Formats: sequence, C-alpha cells, structure tokens
Amino acid sequence: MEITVTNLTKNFSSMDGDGKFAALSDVSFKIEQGQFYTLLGPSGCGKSTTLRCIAGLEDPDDGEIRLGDQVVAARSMSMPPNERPIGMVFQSYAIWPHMTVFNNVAFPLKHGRQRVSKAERTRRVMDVLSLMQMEHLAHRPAPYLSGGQQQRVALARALVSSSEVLLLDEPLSNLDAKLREDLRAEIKDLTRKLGVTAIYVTHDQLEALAMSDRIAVMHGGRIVQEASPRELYLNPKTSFVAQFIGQINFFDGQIVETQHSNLGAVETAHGVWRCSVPSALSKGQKVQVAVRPEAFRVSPSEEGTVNNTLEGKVEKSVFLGEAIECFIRSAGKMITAKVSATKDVIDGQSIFLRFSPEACLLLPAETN
Amino acid sequence: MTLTFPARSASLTKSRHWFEWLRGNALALVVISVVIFLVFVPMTRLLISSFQLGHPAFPDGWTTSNYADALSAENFYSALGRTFWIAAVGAVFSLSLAVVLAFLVERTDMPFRNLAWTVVLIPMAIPGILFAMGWNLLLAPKSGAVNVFLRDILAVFGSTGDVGPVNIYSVGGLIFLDSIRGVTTIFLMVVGSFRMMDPTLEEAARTSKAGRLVTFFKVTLPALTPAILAAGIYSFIQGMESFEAALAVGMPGGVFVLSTLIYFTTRVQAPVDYGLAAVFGVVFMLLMILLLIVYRRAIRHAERFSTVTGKGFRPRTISIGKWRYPALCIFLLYFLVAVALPFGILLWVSVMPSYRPPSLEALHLITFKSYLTVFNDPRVYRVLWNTVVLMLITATATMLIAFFVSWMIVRGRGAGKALLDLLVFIPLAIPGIVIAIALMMAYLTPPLNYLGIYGTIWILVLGLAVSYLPFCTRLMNASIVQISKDLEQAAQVSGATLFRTLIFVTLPLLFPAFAAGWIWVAVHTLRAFAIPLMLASRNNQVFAVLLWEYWENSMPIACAMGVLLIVALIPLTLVLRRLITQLSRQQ
Repeated sequence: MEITVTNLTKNFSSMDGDGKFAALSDVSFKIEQGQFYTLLGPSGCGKSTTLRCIAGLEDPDDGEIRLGDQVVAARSMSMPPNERPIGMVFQSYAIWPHMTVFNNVAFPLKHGRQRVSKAERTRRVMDVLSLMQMEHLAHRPAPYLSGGQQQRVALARALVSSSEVLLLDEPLSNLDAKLREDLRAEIKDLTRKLGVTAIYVTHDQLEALAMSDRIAVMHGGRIVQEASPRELYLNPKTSFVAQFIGQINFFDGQIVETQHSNLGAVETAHGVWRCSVPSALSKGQKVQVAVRPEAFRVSPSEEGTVNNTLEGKVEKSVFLGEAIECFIRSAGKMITAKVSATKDVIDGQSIFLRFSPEACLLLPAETN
Repeated sequence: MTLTFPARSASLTKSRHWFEWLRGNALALVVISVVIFLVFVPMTRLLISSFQLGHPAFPDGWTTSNYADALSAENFYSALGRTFWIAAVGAVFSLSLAVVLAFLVERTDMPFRNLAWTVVLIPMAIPGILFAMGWNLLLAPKSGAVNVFLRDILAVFGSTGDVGPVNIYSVGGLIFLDSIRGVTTIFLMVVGSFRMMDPTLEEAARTSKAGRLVTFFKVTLPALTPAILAAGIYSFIQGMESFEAALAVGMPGGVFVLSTLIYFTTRVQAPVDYGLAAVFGVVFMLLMILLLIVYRRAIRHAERFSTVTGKGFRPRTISIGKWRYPALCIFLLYFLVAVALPFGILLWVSVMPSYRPPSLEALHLITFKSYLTVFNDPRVYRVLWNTVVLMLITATATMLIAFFVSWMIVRGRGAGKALLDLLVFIPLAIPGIVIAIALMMAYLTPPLNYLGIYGTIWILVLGLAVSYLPFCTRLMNASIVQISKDLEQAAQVSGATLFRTLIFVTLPLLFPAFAAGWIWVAVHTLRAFAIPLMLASRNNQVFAVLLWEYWENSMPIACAMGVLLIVALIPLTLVLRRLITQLSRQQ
C-alpha cells in the first residue's frame, strides 16, 4: 500500500500561555508499496508526531494523509485509528500485562475490524508466532517475558491482522545493543518477506542506515533531506544532515578556484585543499568543508601531492578495537579522526593526516 | 464545546458532520448525561421545591415564604451555629489524633505497627449509627452504663443523685463522637504522605546541622501541611454533614443540627413541611459548596507542594526510645473508645432481656432470645435481601460510572473534561440528608414520578451512587494515571473501538483499584443510614433502617442486629485494607 503525506501541519500549544509552536510544518513525502521508510531525527523533530498522525493517534491541523487510495486524514476529517489498515509497534512495546502472549497477539483478530472465527484466529496467531519463533511461549503471561521477547510479541500483534502498513515507533531503543542488532535484521527480513510498507521512526542513524530503503531526515518539524541511505551519507545537503548521519568534521573556508582538472581549491586555516566544487558554488564564496573521521589516513610526513593534508597534535586517543579514535588539535580546532588500529598513535605527538579530494564535501557556509 | 477523546478530538471540533461527531462522542455524551441526571436533576428539583407551597407533588403555587419562615425561625440559627461549632472543634480533635497516629505508624519504631494500622481501620466496620447507639448506652445521663458506674464510685464520697455526671445528650457529646469517628478517614488521607514523603528533604535538614526536633517542626511538618490542611477541611465538611450521632444522641437531648433539623421537618414532625425542609436543604448545600471551594483551593495548593514523588522509598524511621510503649497505649485507648466499649455494650445489651447496665449480678440473666427473635423475623430476611441487592447494585453501578467518568477526566481534553470533573466533585458538598430529600422531591413529582422508582431500592441506589461518586472517581483517577496510554493506543491501532478498548484493556488493568473501590462502596452501603432512612418506605427498608426501628421499640433486638452487622463488616473491612495496601504498593 502506498502512503502519501501532503503538507502535513500540526501545532501544539506551548506549556505556558497561549503560544503555539509548530510540531510539523508542511511535511510531504510519498512511500512506495513495500518500501522500508525511515523518519530520522533528534528528539522533538516531529518524527513521532508524523507517525502518530498516520496512525490516527494525533489529528493534523492541516494537510492530507492517504493510505493507498483512501484519504484517512484531511482538513475536516480524521478516520479513527481502529478503522485504519495499520499495525503499530510502540517504543514501550505496550504489551498488555493482563493477557498471555497468545491473547495479546490474538487481540486484533478478536476485537479489531476484521474479526475471524476462533479456529482461524488460533491458526493465524500460531502462524505469526512461529514466524517469530515464539510458539513455545504462546501461553506464557506477558509480564514473564524479556524485553526482546516483548518486542517480538508487539511485532507479531502488529502483523497478525495482515495490515498492509506497519508503523514502528523507535521499537528498538529500549533494548541492549546486541539484541538491537539481531532484531534490526529480523524486522527488515520480515517486512521484506511479507511485503508490507513500513514506516520506521528512530533517532539512531546506524539503525536508519542499516534498515531503510529511504530515509527522511527531520529537523524542527520539517523534512530537511530525503534520500537513500547511501546518498544521505555520501551527499548530505546541509551541515545538519552531515552531522546527524555519522560523525563529521567541519572546516571553514573560502573557494579560491572553481575548476582545475575537475577539482577546485578551498583555502582553510589548515592549508589549501583540493576538492570538487558543486556548480551552485562560485569563487570567493565562504564554504564549509566536511570530512568524515574515517577519511583520514596517518602520513609520516607532508608528502604526496595528490592528497590534501592537515598537520596537528594528538591531544587524546581512544582505542576502539577496529580503529583508533584520535582527537587532534590543528590551528586551534579540535578534529576527530578514525585511523587504522595498526598505527601507533601517541598522545602529544605531532601528526600528519592525509585525505583524498573525494572525501571532502563542500557545503555553503551557514549564514547566521 | 469540545467533548473529546484524545484520539479524535481535533478533527471533531472542525468536523461539520454532526452525525460523525455524535458517533465519535457517544460515550462521552452518555456519561455526561448520566452524571447530570444523577447530580444535577435532584438538586434543581430541590431548588424548585424551596419556592413552592404545600406538598411537592401537589404544589399550591409559588412563594418565597419558605425562605422567610426558615430565616425567621430561631431553631434554624441555633442549629446552624451548633453545626459549625461541632464540626470545627471535632475536626481539630480528629485531625490532631489522626496525625499523631499516622506519624507513629509510619515514621517511628513503635512496636506492632502493622497491628496498629489495622486497629485504626476497624472503626470502619462499625456503622456510625451503631457507634452512636453504643455510646448512648454507655453515657446516657440516667441509665448510661459508665454513668451508673461513675455514680457508684462517687457515692462512696457521699455524692448522691440519679443523673450524670456525664451527659452525652449535649454539644460536647456530639463533638466527642464526631472527633472519634473522623479519625479513620483523616488517617487514611494523611498516612500516604507520611509514608511517601521524600526523605532527602529531612536528610538535607539533618546535614544542615538541624536537630531532630527542629527537623520535624521546621521541615517535616511544613512539608506535610498542605496534605494535613486538606484532610482537616475534608474532616470539617464531614462533620458538617454528620447525621447518625446527631440523631441517636442529639435528638433525645433536643440538640438539633442542620441534618437532624431536615430529618425532623420531613420525617418526624406533623404536619411535614417540605417547603421548609427544601429551604434548609438549599441553604445547607450552598454553605457546603462554599466550603468545597475552600477545600478545592487547599488541595490544589497541596498538589503544588507535593512532596510525594512516587519513588518507592521508605523514609527512615525515627527512634522514640522509651516512648515506644506509651505510644502504643494511645492506640489501645483509641481502640477502646472507638471500638471495644461501644461494641462491648451492644454485645452486652443484646444478650439481656431488657436494657440494664453491665454487672456481675446481671450475668445470670444472659439469654439469646433477641438473636432468636432476629432470626425468626421474616422482615429481617426481606430486609437482608434488600440490603444485599442494594450493596451489589450500588457497588457495581457506582464503580462503572466512576470508571468511565475518570477515564474521561484523565484522558480527555476540552470542556467536557472540566465539566465532568466539577460535576462529580460537587456531591462531596451535598450532605446525604440533602441528597435524600432532593431525590424524594424529584421522584415524587412529575415527570420523574412516572419512572416509579420512589419507594424501591433503585432510589437508594441513586442516592448512594451520587454520594460515593466523588471518592470513587478520585480513586480511579489515581489508578488510570498509572496506566500507560500506549496500552490503550495499541488496542486502538489493533482495530478495537474505544468502547472495546476500555472494556477489554483498561478495565482489566484497573482491576485492583476497581475491586478496592467496589468493596469500599459495598462496606459503605452496608453502613449507610441517612439516605436509606430518609427514603425508606415499606418495600425498600435495609438492615440499618430496620435496626433503627427496633431501637425505638426493643433495645436488645436492635443491639443483636447491630452485633451481627458489625461481625459481617469486619472481614470485609480487613479485605479492603489488604487491597488498599496492595494498591499503594503497586503505585
């Protein structure tokens, strides 16, 4: 089922007084049938509100939401959540503690829109539980489950009525890291297998990158960039997105040359660097050069003309196993670099970092 | 007006489809209508009757003469003043006692604290009317057992006379009874704050070099003041409305308060004057609403000051050293006065052929004739049946209404929420006696007389449900707040309608609170007296009313019935205590 959200707007009245602030302004996006779509952003960015509007748990002030061909929310109407073709998984799992696993999962078939006979209900509940490898827990009271099991029950409950839209509101944020990774893969496989259209809300960029077909990054009630995970990582449109998707270093600079064998040049406090200049930018313009920590290589000296270089002093280094995270001071600025774990990095040592022109991302300087 | 369900409201305010709106808000509309019907209709009828001449069913036109009569009647002012005085002094006494007891139970190392807890609750099992009857038997100026005993002692010193020395048929007597009776409720209201008070407040004071006493008076007590104050005003309100003691020991001595004045005007004097009673009722109600406003401000204050953080800590207990056993004696004394003595005398009289003070010589007279009479009286069984049916219906109906109302108060938005909150709070201000005459007038006159519920148990259900609604909604409010909204929303996105969500998810989750409230109502229905007495007719008499009828004719039989009632109530009260402790532990 396709999901189309058009100009979604919602205001909340602020805590004190009668002031209002926009929780969502003009949010529009379209999700293709069977896509795994992620709303990503820091807390308070409006991602959960968007999801809850789609679920019918909040009513938008303006805009339209369509599930398939059906308008479920528009200016003057809002279909109640129980009439929408959705399944939802909550951050808190929302497993009913007074029921067994079986009864939790059977609830949509027993009390929902499409009620089915007892035999049919049993069959479908056991099917979905076996899909989750949880048949053996069917008759266990819900409180006697671990966090991961509870989340599986919540997922089973959201899937049992074969709704075509699956809404997931930070479902993994209360689990420990290992479990989170397992369930991440599980959820992705499952949605693919069942062909449901999934909307996933998270503030965890790793999760978003690993699971999604497309990601919408939200900030301050707006979508700031919508793209595939790869595109988002490699080509962030704003410094907010660049910063939010993975770690990144920013260097202030000015374009001194726009075109020279496909590469331009930017002057920074750390030297003149070669990098490709997008056509929207012109010579003399102030820019930010963004470089990911993992793009840096340690170089014994300032040699090799192809690459850009940077000189600094290691202030602190943290051994992470797969890499060493170094905090390097250069021209008064603290830079984060992730270098190969095989290198010897000593605190207080002077160091040369080398990085290719392709690793540099040019963003227009923020005007404020 | 936005009525409101969280899931739907905004769209509905904008929706132009009134049918959709109606469908979406059906539950809210039904609940608000039921509450208006319960609370608002009888009160309006009372107001109308106060401006009518003659019997409310056959009014003789409009008048303000009822008001003129009431305001010029001398006994009205004296009763009003007396009511205030008794309630005020009673509240101060019961508040002081309750605070001391709560402090000892929760914050000190007094021995047998668990038992002490139970001791404070036992008086709940003794209906107010039996407590008053018991003390009437003990302290009646002429024949009261204690008075007889005291006179025997005084006779040794040459004092003679056949009255006194103590006269319970007096303002002092009423104050005494009301203060003892008030303790349990206030104790329950403040004990939670004592338990849940954030101990870091006190620890901060101690580390700031304040001594134990200074800490108690400068930190502990002020932090609890709002809670104590709110309980005090509540106790004052209860004292104003008190009826049983005023009936059993006030009326014999001609000591009238507002509630007995209304009873007298409508049920005793001949001819009955409904117009006058309606005026008394209206004045009483207005007065109480004024008090209620004060109370509401006090609790709002209390919430702002809230020291209850909800964390499951246990404050440090304070060692009171050699005072541990004397402290326990306070509980013993309280138990003696509130339970043992009145129950003891009821028991004694119930096995006597006729009333006589306890003595060794009278022991050989012991007989179980009264109990046999009770068990052989077919009326007792009819009344018992009425009582049980009334209890089951009232408890279930009140709790269901409270559940829906509370859910809307907690989860709803908009004007509907505020309206409901106010509507279910108002009955706290309406004395049982006033609810009763209002219902009487409403259901004796068109259009409601066509329902034909006057003289049936149903009118008692209405009256009792109204008076218990404020407590039950408060109980449910507190529990619903604890339930995560996600659990309900998960049901709704699973396709369940709001009604199904409430019945299959919310209600089962609330079961412990619902059960506690149910038993609370059941216990109170069994003890209920003012409303059943005022609305009693041939077919809807309940146990306590029949008991009162016997009291006026044959004391031993009334006492036997009283003993049986208390014996039935004690286990129920203990179950209630268990449930409430479990609830508070959960929270």
